[in-house]
Amino acid sequence: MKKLLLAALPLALLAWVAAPATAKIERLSLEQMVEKTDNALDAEIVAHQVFKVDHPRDGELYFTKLTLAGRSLRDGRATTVDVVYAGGFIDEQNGVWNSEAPSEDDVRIGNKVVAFYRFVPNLGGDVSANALYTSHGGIYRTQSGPAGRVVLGRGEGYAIPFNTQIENLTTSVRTFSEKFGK
Amino acid sequence: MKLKNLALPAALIGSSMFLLMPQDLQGFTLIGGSLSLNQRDVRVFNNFEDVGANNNQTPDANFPGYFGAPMAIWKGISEWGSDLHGNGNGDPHQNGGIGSGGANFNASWQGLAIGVGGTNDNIASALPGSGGGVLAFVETPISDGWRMRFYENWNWADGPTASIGSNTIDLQGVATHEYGHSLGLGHTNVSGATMTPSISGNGVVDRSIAADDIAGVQAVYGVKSASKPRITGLVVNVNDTVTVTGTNFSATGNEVWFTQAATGGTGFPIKVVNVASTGGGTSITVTPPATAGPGDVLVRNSGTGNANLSNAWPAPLNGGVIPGPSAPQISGISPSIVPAVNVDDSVVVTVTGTGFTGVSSVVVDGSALLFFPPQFTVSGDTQVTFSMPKVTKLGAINVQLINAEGSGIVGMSVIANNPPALEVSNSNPSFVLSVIGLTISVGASPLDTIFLLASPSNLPSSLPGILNASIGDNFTSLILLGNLIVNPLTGRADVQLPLSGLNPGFSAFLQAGRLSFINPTLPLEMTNVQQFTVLF
Repeated sequence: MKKLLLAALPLALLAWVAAPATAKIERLSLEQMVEKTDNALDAEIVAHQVFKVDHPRDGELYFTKLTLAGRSLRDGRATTVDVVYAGGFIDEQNGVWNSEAPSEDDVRIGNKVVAFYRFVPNLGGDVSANALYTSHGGIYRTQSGPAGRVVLGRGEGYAIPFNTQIENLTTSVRTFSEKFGK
Repeated sequence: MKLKNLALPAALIGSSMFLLMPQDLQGFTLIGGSLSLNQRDVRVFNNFEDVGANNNQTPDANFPGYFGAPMAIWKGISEWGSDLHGNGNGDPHQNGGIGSGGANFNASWQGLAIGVGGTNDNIASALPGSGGGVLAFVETPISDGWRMRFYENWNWADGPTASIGSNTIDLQGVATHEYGHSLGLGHTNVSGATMTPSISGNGVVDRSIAADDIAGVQAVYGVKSASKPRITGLVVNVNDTVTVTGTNFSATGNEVWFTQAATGGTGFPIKVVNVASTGGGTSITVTPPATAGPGDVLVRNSGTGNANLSNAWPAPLNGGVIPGPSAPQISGISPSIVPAVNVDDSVVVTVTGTGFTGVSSVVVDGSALLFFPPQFTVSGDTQVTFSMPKVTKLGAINVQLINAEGSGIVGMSVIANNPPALEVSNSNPSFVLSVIGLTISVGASPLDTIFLLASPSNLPSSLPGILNASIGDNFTSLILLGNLIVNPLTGRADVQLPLSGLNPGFSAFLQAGRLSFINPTLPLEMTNVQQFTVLF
């Protein structure tokens, strides 16, 4: 019991610290998230780049591109993909925080994450990309513990509300994928 | 058991309970920073395309002069105000309840903007496209301002009823949430709060901020001070002065903030400064500037802190009617004399005047410039710029600006290029498609003879007294493409040059020599050099 408590403490602390810092996103269950997205990855963030678009209609917009390398939770295939969300800083002077974006801690290179994405033809500024679906609501950090790797839930209203074993999440995602023929 | 023996286990259990507690007990979060008194303005660029986002055309005495999306967003930001906005009405979801923040914070409604603005311009607008599950967002940090965007892929509804229909999202509710970010709040996991990250239903419930949201805004700006100025009434007098009644106005040195009348502006409130109060700080009478219009009035007393700015109170100036957009009134054009051939878009024409808001078409010499990709730029209500295009004649031509209300016309003159000039479409270096070929224009005086030269080398060729070309490598690769005569109507010699058979990557330089019709003397007067490259 003592071991379990000590193991749970850091996970709980991480879940608490990783809770969203800052608009409105779509409220989705895991089943709805799987239905709406093209894929879900258990991956590592291997690259992180911020780019700016100066659009004649939409104005200046900043986007962050994460390169994720890992495996699909749907079929286990090795996958490397770029996912994009609005917001980010190119340097200290150029960029914006976006109220929907994941926190900096969530998107550091080397982080192990579960991410849901969907191709969007125009994320604003005529940028077409695989959108990190629901922005911060589409990325979840994972943490290894004595009982295996755990996906850190974000709380009520998110696709993964509670801390969940990666194996259990994988099973759920595959079940929902088969249900939706994906 | 001794008490100290209990202390450590109790503390451990207590902290574990805290760390393991369900997240829905977590309260508001802060993103850092706050809006100073210089950042209290809010404007809306009403580019919402959904009919439902702008179909509320019923006037509301608490939100005078505005309708549709702007009114819905105005209501959303007013909910965070320190006191009821007017009598608090305007939202059937919370009758008599708009204005619930109870903090030393109030926003200053500044009406309509003419563009999406920069990321610090405090403007809300629609954003074409889809956020991939994101409804709207705010760009921060807020200390130097913010920008709010609503993705257009959602069906936005402007209310005002609480029953906004299926498959629609409530603009007022989401605006309330987004403005919470603008004033410094992050997300909360407290169920029922407006600042929860994911939307509940259509978002109508988010119109009304909850106790956790109120605690958040009070944490940033402080609980409403007892000494904070408070407006409790406003009368527009028959002589068009405005009398504001309330409490805690300073004896002297007050500022009265109005909403701008026009569309556009900088966002800075229209202010009357150094105003004295009467009745022991309970009444102020001022004459609104001509630039003020229907909207809100706030009073800042002689202090400069958050607690020195009053609540916002509806002000039905001009009978609550916003001056409608007008047809463009042109006061000037510069330059007013332009050459027939504009090399590398170096001649940019600026038209100045008023009523340029909403200019959708610029017609030069009878031909409309393209709206997209944009061949003209509308900068505020007072300026339009465009790169001078080729026109059909030398002499006087008209430039016409058109908006929904009508058009304005101004004249300008086109003269022959002197010295002669050569321009290749998409030029210098121009990547051209071989199947399309080159469009070359040489500007010079009417009936001048033009010798059009080409070479892959930009090393010079010189024949003293006859020709001093910048290309051709001492005539080893100089080609005479042909002789042209300058059209006396247009002041140009135009030629379409086929490029079929040239390989991708082929690059060459073009230059022309002019032999004057009026004074045909040598050497030839040479033009500038232009380069082109075959893309494929």
